[in-house]
Order: sequence, then structure tokens, then C-alpha cells
Amino acid sequence: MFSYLYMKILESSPERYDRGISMASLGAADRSRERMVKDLGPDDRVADLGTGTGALAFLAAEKGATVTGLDASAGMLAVAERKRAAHPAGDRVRFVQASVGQMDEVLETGACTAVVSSLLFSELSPDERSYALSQAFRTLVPGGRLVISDETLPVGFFRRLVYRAVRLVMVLVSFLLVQAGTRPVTGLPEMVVQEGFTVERVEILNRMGSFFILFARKPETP
Amino acid sequence: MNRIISWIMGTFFRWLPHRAVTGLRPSGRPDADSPVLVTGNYSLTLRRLLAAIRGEDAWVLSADSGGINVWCAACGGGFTHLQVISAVKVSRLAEKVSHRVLVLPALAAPGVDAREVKEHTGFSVRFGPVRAGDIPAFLAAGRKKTPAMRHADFSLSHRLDMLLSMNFILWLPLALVFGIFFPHAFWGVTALFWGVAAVSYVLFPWLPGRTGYLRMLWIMGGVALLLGLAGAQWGSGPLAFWPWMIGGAAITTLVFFDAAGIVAPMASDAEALAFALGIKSLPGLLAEKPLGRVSQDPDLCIGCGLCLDICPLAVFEKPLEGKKPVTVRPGACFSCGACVLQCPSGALSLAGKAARPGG
Ligand SMILES: C[S@@+](CC[C@H](N)C(=O)[O-])C[C@H]1O[C@@H](n2cnc3c(N)ncnc32)[C@H](O)[C@@H]1O
Ligand code: SF4
Ligand code: SF4
Repeated sequence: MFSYLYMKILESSPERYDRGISMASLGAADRSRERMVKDLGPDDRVADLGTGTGALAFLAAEKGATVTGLDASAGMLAVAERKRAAHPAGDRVRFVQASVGQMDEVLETGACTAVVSSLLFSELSPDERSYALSQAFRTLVPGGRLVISDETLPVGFFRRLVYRAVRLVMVLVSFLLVQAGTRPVTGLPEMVVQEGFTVERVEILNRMGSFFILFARKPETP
Repeated sequence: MNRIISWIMGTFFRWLPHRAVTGLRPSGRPDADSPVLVTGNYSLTLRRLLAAIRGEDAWVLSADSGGINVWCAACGGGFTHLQVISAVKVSRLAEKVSHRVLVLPALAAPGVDAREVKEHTGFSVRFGPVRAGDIPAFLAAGRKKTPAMRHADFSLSHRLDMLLSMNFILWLPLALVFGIFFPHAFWGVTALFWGVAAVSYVLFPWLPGRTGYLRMLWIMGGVALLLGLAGAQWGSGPLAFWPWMIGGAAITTLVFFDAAGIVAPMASDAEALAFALGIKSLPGLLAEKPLGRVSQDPDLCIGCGLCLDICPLAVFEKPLEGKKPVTVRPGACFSCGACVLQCPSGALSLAGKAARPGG
């Protein structure tokens, strides 16, 4: 009942969301999703955490994989469902409204061969990050893959300075629009290892060094 | 830096959400037996809670209310058992405390279904005091509430706190428009705005009228009357200041848009208006719900006393020890839905006569 206008902006944002994200990341988000699903195939059962409007989920389905997309936001999922109806691989995708805290209820143990997530971790609190990783570990088969992409703090003084300056503008704009702060993801490889994964590699996607993809695996034998 | 932003947001922009990081925070030196106080992640609420319990050893679990205060979020569907369940699991609370009790703010009761929380987390929910300031006394008394701790605070000091924080953001666009385009009227409009807002917020409880919008008419009339008198005295006649009369009416409408829901134990006019206009829900802010007054089926009631414990407006009373609570002041009910959601036997409903016209 309070700021009606503000809510309207939020409500309508899922539609404008895809374009917004790809602009804000200067294309890095689009490139990253392609790379994330590169090794997936028809035998894969994939969970996409924080699927949003399903961009990553559909790419995985195009590779033949069966995908469950989780997101806490009903508005985002409504757009994803609309896209699904029109998508040729849409019948291999299923969307479930669930927050990270409900992963224990919606993802069965050993049900997935891959867990992917793009641009979710920067929206999570520290607790949520470690919980999401532990639940990903549980739902993966031994040898299963974990692929996470997001924003991070670049290495090096000068790059950080540039990054911070650019980010300040983005934060102001996004704060005015949605009051949703995101936090660049740091220390993720360490966290992933702590939950029992083996980190295979971390790719940096842009010259500023602020966009990464982390590839990790649940060990074959415990 | 965060504290300064949080203060600015809390004082001038209280209509806007302001999120704090969710998660478990220690207050003092809590151990496995210390109480767990759950709240939302509106930074101002969290700051006030932490300040209120300074010196207590407790866990503070902040769940995601979207950066909105617990009451608005709980009534609007943005703070429910889902957020609480998530916070409990994600923080791995069960590994950190040995007991299984959460203390929630009483004002979370319209949104957080205690039975769902219990089922999914194993923690039972106790609804604590309405005001954070009462928490130390509540804990000291063995988690028991005095009647005063149950009742929502709409005292003068609460209203004055709301006066600045709720109206600043209404004044700001006015100030910008007049400051840039009509600078000669800037101070007049500003004085009129804050005069109307202050008088309205201070006098609100004594204005006659069943709804906020009806009470608004008194202020509008008062403004018009004063301007008319001023026109007759110093101008060419009672209508000499007619543009200000129109402006005064517009400003009064603005101030009263949601005033009843803010300064009085009354249902929100804005909510009823939104429903009447066909806007049934806004994510996290407004949820479709009946707007009737509470009614009780005495045959279903098992006398647990929960309704009495959580109603912020003292609608219920327990006549004699051992007897079932009865609705003694149904007229005071403002349809928040807390008792209906929490009643374990389904004895309560909001199907009664609408608390307000248009609802
Ligand atoms: C920036 S979008 C990314 C969407 C998509 N993965 C992509 O790459 O375009 C982040 C999504 O995470 C979701 N989200 C945020 N916090 C969440 C949580 N705690 N649990 C589940 N989803 C969450 C939001 O609803 C949003 O749709
Ligand atoms: S909460 Fe329900 S069952 Fe319990 S006393 Fe009130 S009406 Fe009766
Ligand atoms: S009686 Fe009315 S005001 Fe009291 S808790 Fe129930 S719905 Fe809310």
C-alpha cells in the first residue's frame, strides 16, 4: 500500500530484466551463460539456482539436458513460464518457486548431475551462500558438476578503482529502482572447497576482471 | 557509513525499503541456551532491536522482509513463514542452540504461520512484545507479556516520530516542483504542508469519523475556513485565497492518503482504496484478504488464549480464569488477520461486517 509507483517498477522489471542485465554486465552475462552450459548433454539432470527468467535453464535444455529452475520470485518465474511455453526445448524445463532455504525440500539427494547458477550468489547473504553450496553438494551425484558465474572484486589496485567507480553508478541506479543491493562475490573458491568440492578452474570473462565462472566438481569417492 | 545511511533512510525515507544483511547475529555473548529473537531485515528495525536488547545475551535472527518493517511486510504478504523457515535453515540455527523456541515480534503474526514454522524447522514460535523496548522485561519475566506489551503503540510520541518520517517523502516532490517552477510559492506550500501534516497527526485520535478519509474532511474544512477568514480580513473577500484553498485540499488528501493506517489502530484507507480500485495485491506490500471484522465461533474455540495474546488492539478478553477468550470489542478490530491465521482451531474469521466502507 505504500509506494505504489515503486512497486510498479519492480513488478514490471522481470520483462525488462533480460535486456537490463545483459547491458549492465556489458555482455559478460550472455557470454558466461554460453560457456557455463558448454559441456552439458542429454544425460544431464541440471538444477539452475536463482533461475530468474530462465535464461541459463533454456540454454542447458537446448543441449538436451533436463532442467529444474529454482527462484524465489513469483514475478520472475511468471516471465520464465511464458518463455517456456514458446521455447522448443521448453518441455525439458521445469520451474519451481523456492528460495535457497528450501533447496532441502525441492531437490532430492543425488538427483542432479550438474548444479548451475548465474548471478545469484551476489544477491545472497553469506549464510545463504554456504547453505546453497552445501545443498548443491547433497543433490549432486558423485562426480557431479558445480558451475557458478557472478561478479567479483577484481584483483589489483587500479582495476578495483575503476570497478568501484563504475559500480557506484550502477548501485545508485539500481538502488533508486529496486533498493536491492548486491555484493560482489569474494572468497567463493575457498567456500566451495570447504563444502567438499574440488575446484577445477576459475575463468575471468572481462578485461576489468570483475566477472568470473567457477567450475567445480563433487569428488567421485568421498 | 551504513549507520548514517540507515539513519537517513529511517528518518526521512521510511516509505522506502532499506535492507540489512540477513542472518544470525549475536547480542552480548549468547550460548546454546540463549533466546532467539527473530525479526525482519528493515535496517531501522534491526538497529532499534539491537539497541533495545543491549546487555542481553541473545541471538538475533534477521529474516528477509524485503527491507520493509515487519508489520507492513507481514500484513502485505512479504514476511511469512517462508522467510522465517528459510532464515532458520540457512543460518543452521538448530546446530547453534539446544532449545527449539523462536521469539517473533507480535506484529509478525498476520503473516507468519507458526504451525508451518514448527513443521518445517522443528522450532515453535512465541509471539513477543509489540515494541522492541519491552523485550528485556519480557525475557526477564520468563517470556510472559503484560497486557501493555501486547498493544500497538499509537501514542503522541509514535505519531510525532511518524510525522517526519512518513511525510518527508511526500513533501520532497512538492518542494522540488515548487522550488524549481514556482519559487515564490515555495515557503507558503511548505508551511501549509507541514502545518496540515502536524495538525492532522497530532489531532488524529480526536477527529470524529469512522475512517481516515472521513476524518480528513475536518482538516480540509478547517483549512478552508481559516483561509476564508484570512481572505475576509486581509484580502478582497472570503474567497480571495481560493488557489490556496484548492492547494490545501490537495495537500490534506496527500497527507491522509494512508494516515489512518499509520497513526491509529485503524484499517488502512489506502488498502481499502486499492481493493476498491481492483488492485488486489502488490508483491510484498499488499495481499488480498477479507476486510471484515473478526467473529468467533464459540463452539470451535478450544480456549488456548493465543488470539488474546497476539491481538494488538485488545479485541479479546478472558473473562474468568479457565474460561475461553471472547471477543469483547469486535468494533476495535482492524482486520489485520493475525488471530485468524494463528488460531489453532479455525474458530475465528474475518467474514463479519466490513470494518470500513469500500472494503
Ligand atoms: C540477477 S537474477 C539472475 C537470473 C538468471 N540466473 C540469469 O542469469 O539471468 C537473480 C535471481 O535470483 C533470485 N534470488 C535472489 N535471492 C534468492 C534466494 N534467496 N533464493 C532463490 N532465488 C533468489 C532472484 O529472484 C532473481 O531472479
Ligand atoms: S486462538 Fe482460537 S482456539 Fe485459541 S482462544 Fe482464540 S479463538 Fe479460541
Ligand atoms: S481481532 Fe482483529 S485486530 Fe485483533 S488480531 Fe484479530 S484481526 Fe487483528
